[in-house]
Amino acid sequence: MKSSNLKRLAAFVLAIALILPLTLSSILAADSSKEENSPNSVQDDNKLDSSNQITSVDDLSGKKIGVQLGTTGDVYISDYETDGSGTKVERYSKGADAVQALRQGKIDAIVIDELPAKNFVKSSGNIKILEEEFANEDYAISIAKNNTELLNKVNSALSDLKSDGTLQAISDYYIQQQNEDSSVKPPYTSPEGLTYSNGTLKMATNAYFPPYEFYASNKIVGIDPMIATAIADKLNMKLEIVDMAFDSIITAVSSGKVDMGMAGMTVTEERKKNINFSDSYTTTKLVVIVNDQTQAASSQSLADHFKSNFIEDSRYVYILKGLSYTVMISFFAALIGIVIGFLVAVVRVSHDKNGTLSILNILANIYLTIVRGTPTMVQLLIIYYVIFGSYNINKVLVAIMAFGFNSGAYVAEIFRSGIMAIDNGQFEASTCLGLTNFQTFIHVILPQAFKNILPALANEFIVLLKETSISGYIGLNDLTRGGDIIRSITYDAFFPLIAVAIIYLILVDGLSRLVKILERRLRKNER
Amino acid sequence: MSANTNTINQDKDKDIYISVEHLYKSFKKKEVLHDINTNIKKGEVVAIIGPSGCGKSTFLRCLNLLEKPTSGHIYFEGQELRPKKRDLSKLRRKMGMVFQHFNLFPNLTIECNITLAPILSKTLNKEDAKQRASELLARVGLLDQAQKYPAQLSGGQQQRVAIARALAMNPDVLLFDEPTSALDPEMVGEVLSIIRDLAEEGMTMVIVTHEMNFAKEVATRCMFFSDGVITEENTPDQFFNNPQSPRLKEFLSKVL
Repeated sequence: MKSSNLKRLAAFVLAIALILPLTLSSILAADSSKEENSPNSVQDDNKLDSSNQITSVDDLSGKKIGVQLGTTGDVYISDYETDGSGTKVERYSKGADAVQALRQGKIDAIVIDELPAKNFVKSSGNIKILEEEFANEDYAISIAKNNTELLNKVNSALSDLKSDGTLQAISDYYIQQQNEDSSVKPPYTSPEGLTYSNGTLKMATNAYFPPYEFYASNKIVGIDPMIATAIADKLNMKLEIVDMAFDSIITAVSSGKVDMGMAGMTVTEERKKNINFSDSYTTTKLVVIVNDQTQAASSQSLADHFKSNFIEDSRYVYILKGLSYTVMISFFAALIGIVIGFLVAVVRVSHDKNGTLSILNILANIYLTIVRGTPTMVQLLIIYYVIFGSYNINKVLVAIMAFGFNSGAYVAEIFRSGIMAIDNGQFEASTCLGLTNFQTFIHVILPQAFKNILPALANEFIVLLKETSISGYIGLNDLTRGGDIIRSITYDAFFPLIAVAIIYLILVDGLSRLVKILERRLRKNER
Repeated sequence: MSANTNTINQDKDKDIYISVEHLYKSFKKKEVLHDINTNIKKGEVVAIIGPSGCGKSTFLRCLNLLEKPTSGHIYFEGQELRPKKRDLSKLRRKMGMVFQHFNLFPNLTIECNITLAPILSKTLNKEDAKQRASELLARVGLLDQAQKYPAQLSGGQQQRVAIARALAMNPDVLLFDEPTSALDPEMVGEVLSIIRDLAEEGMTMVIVTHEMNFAKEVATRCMFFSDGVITEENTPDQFFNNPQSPRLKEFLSKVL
């Protein structure tokens, strides 16, 4: 037993030792590819020519440009894509991902709002903002079309905050924080003794857009949350912030899932078709970020990287919390999957063997066709945004239901194959002893089927565990998203991603070992 | 006088365990059994003999409705067996069956194989069922194997356990579907000797078999199936020594 444990440990260490250099070398390769530029290199899609340096907005035409999906930068740049200049647009769900792509030379420039851009430049290094601005735009709060009452209240609160200087103070405060002057007191804090007698005010945001909204000390903070707090206090309501993908915010507002959206959102005609905008609370510029060849790469030791990714600001908590969600979702989804799978399999087998339950069998077939015929992620999004679109429901519950519902279909087919594999003689012998169909199933068929399907079942649950990593799409901070949040703060891909990968690996390995033990116990009655 | 005839009829009915009337069975379009009529009386040991594919196994499996007859009636102890009948499983308990491939439950120990049905049907409590299992295992000479699993036993041992399992429900009739066909030759004897013991105790049995000597020795009646009908039936002595139909003569000349 001891030696086999040692062997496993050795194999594990070997695996890590193989992964590490591979990842490191790929990072280095990406860096060097943009530094070495032989004069005769032909420009292709992936390797970029530094002689083609972007120095003004006019140079953007024909380049690869990164934007954040659904932002106004996306809207403006999308026009370039169709004007025949060969411009390519890469849309990222987070600004930080675009910055990483820019630094690795995958894109030539990023068009994004000024304040987040400053933030990225400050924390990333090696990139710079072009002096020439791309466009000017107004930010406003989005509110559902039919909710004019809230719109009026928000507008009057905004005008109060504007006239007493609070709005300006909040913007200044967060911009100064960019200059690392954190000794200044926050310009707005909720007054003591508020009763929140008017209930809660739900606000949707996308917390990857510093300084407007971002994660710090496990909380969503920034200009928008602070202004929203001030507005909510004026309305005597308690503010609740919901983090989601930027392109989901308008849907969430118009479907009533949240009361308002506030995410550095620019007023556009297109958006006005679906929602109302409040008066503008700030005006900002769209700017262009490009690589800065003049700056040398800042050298940080591995230990510094580790510290900034996990230790500083207790960032490991994102991973731990995410882990707990991932485990919880996987566990309960697996339970639901077993129950649904079992029932569906019983229906299908009874129909195949005895020709009974035809209506239920048709329903079961429809269920299997739908679940197996559509991507899990689409099912998750449909369950959250369509089926529970207008209900205020816990996201973890939605994820458990979605993954359980999905897994049930696969488990059903596994169960069915297990039952069909049992020799017909077993059914006959049991029938001849006068056992009822139900007794036969429980005492004779199921124990044998379970033993046969255990490896396939374990495989399904391993897939399920890893598939929960798409929970981030409904804004649930699972393990994968925990790593993403850290990545968006530190702009470091290596540590958060490897840490997340290792944790998944340990979970899956533990699960496989448990199954192996169970399998060995069940096989005791065979020579 | 008429009252007297009645009692005689009733006595006669009581002696009949299984009664088959106009039994037809087809698989898809192929007719396997054609208008079978016969009675099996208490204490009889009926050996069913015939070439392969003649319908003898199908006939046996129709007796306890493992195969659903296409038409016709089967009565067991005066009650008709029908596929949808609610107490069908109750009637089946009185009609044990032993299969060619034993069909023991591989996930259960030998003891649990035997006690499962009595416990689930609540005919015996757990203690009594175990007691009964021990008696039956002693009878088939396998008491020391009670805690093993079927896969750990030889084919002959497994078939002896299967017989013990069928006996655990105290059946009135035992059906054997080629009980020795899947066994190595040296194991055939141990299974046949148990069936022989049962015959001596007066157990009513219907046995599909290819063991001609065994049929001659144990059976009280031999039935010859060919082409889906009972071509000839007689006492073993007449059946083997004085066959009437050309089909039986031909068959016996090949197998004896």
